[in-house]
Amino acid sequence: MKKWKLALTVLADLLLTIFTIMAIIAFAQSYSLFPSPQMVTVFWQQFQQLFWSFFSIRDITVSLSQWHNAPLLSTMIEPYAYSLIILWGALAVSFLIAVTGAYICFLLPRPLQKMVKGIAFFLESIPDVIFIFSTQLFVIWVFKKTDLLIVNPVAGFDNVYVLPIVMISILPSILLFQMTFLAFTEEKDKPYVEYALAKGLSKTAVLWRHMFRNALITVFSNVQYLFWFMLSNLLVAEYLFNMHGLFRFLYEQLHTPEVVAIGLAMLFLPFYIIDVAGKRVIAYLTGIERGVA
Amino acid sequence: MRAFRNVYFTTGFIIAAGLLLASFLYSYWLKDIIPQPPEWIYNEAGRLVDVPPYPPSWVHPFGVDRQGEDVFWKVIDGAKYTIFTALAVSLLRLAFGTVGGIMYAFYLQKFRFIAESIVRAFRFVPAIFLTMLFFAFIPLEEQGAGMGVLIKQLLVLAVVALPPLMLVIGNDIAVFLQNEFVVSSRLMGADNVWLIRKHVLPYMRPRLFLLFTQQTVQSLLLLVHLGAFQILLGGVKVIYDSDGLGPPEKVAFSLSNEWSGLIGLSYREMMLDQWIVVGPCVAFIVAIFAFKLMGKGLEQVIAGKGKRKQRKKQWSSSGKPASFPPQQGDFEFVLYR
Repeated sequence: MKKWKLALTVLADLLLTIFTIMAIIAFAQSYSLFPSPQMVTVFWQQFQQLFWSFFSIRDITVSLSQWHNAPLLSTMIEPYAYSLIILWGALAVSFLIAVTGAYICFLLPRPLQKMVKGIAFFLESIPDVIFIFSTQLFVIWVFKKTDLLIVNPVAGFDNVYVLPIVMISILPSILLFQMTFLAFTEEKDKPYVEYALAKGLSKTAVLWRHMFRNALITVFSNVQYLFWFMLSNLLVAEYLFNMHGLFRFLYEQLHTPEVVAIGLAMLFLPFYIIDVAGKRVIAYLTGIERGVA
Repeated sequence: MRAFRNVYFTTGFIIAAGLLLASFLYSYWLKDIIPQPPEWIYNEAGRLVDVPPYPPSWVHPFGVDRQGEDVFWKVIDGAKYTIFTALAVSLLRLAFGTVGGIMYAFYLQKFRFIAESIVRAFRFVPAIFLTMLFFAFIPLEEQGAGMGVLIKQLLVLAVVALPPLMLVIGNDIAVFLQNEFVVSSRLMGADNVWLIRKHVLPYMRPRLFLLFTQQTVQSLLLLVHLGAFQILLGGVKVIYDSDGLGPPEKVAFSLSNEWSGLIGLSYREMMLDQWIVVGPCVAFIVAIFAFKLMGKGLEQVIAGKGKRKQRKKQWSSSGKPASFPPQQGDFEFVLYR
């Protein structure tokens, strides 16, 4: 019974969010008519059109060039898969960097810890665009100096994976590093840690066996912010690096609202499922039900 | 004002205020004093060695751009537009967000489920993508440039981040309203207006300042993105530039030296003369860093409010040696209310 209810809330949640995405797009098309009542009718028409386009998804075509039209699904599937691979890769990499970083930093002496935190704070204020700019410049600079092309910074027709994944993951991993480190420091003062240390367990053992598990909960509950941050990074990277990902595709099709709506909905779907799954894991770990949404 | 005792806040404030001050000084006074960079550079033998753009040097720390203007002073000049745009956008967001948050906390708690899924859509789509979507369907060039377009654009920039902010403020207030003193105040007959005036607003004031700095950082980030996607605030001026070879080339200029415009318009310089783009990028980093510092300072002030008082009390009680038997001077007489 409870499971049914859960599935229903998840479904309702999902539908509402997708409806909102459609409403935003319809509003974006109609808001320039603002003072006149025409706006409402245009909005409603657009909204209906977007809604029905979801049911006739197979018939939608996109114009790739002036003379060439192609069905949406088959053209979108490739950039979609590419973007997802990069996002998942980046997520895994940033998770790895952040947790290892936090672990190493936690074992450092205190003045060094403070320094690392300061550096992380400063790095966080570098906008992702500028970071990606400078990576590009750095790769070119290395190439000029040493004739060594680490990775091709501008994607041609073939898809590159390594550089985008690394680049997209660095700024989010700084964010995640700070969160993890904060979680560690909060856990450190709890009585069970003191007790374990007093019992004679080593610092590493306490850190891995006990604190890490508890800190992981905090990290997991912040994972959706990480996704959002990463999406914005990916958008910029795809644009600047000429990558053939989903955002680039949507950017080119910005004037066809149906395509944008379907693309965003498709991007949203896997992440929402992961979000719900993550929340279930946390609920299982802590025993506290926090609701699905 | 207590915030100024915090080192972080004061440092951030000084950096931001210094940028603004330098910017105003430049446009009213320094502009006429500082010499323009030379149009040609000759070496000792009197041979022409360089024409703009010049690379960074001690005289021109950020270099000189293709039009022969010093990038450093361009950036300083643009500081006021950029920072004020960010401040205006975050002020708009905060004003609407507070009103919406209060409405949500007081009247719309039943629709929490719906509100959260709506907000999720806004959070999920990157703000810059939403902005592009909104700008894509209005032909800005047709409407010309000027204040009207600028105000419309600022409103769009404010609106794209509004729903999440409303939810954050609303949830904060909703939690606050469950405090016992609020509940008892309500039981004694206080209406919502009274609660808002006497409880919610005093509680929210420092938090609103914190949100304000955070939103300013967000708007600055959005401005960088706008620059990268070559969307200009306030329209563009297009001139036809000819170098004598081939047909005249269309060159777009930002109407002001606003930083995102500086980045966006000279993006293609990145592969040629990087310093033209690097200047505004550095400026953005400095500005964002300053506002982040202010935010961190405010966070500490809000969190450490009670702590400092306690510490003071402890210090004063342990600082004075107690005498035995106690003298009258050991006691402090307070008026009991």
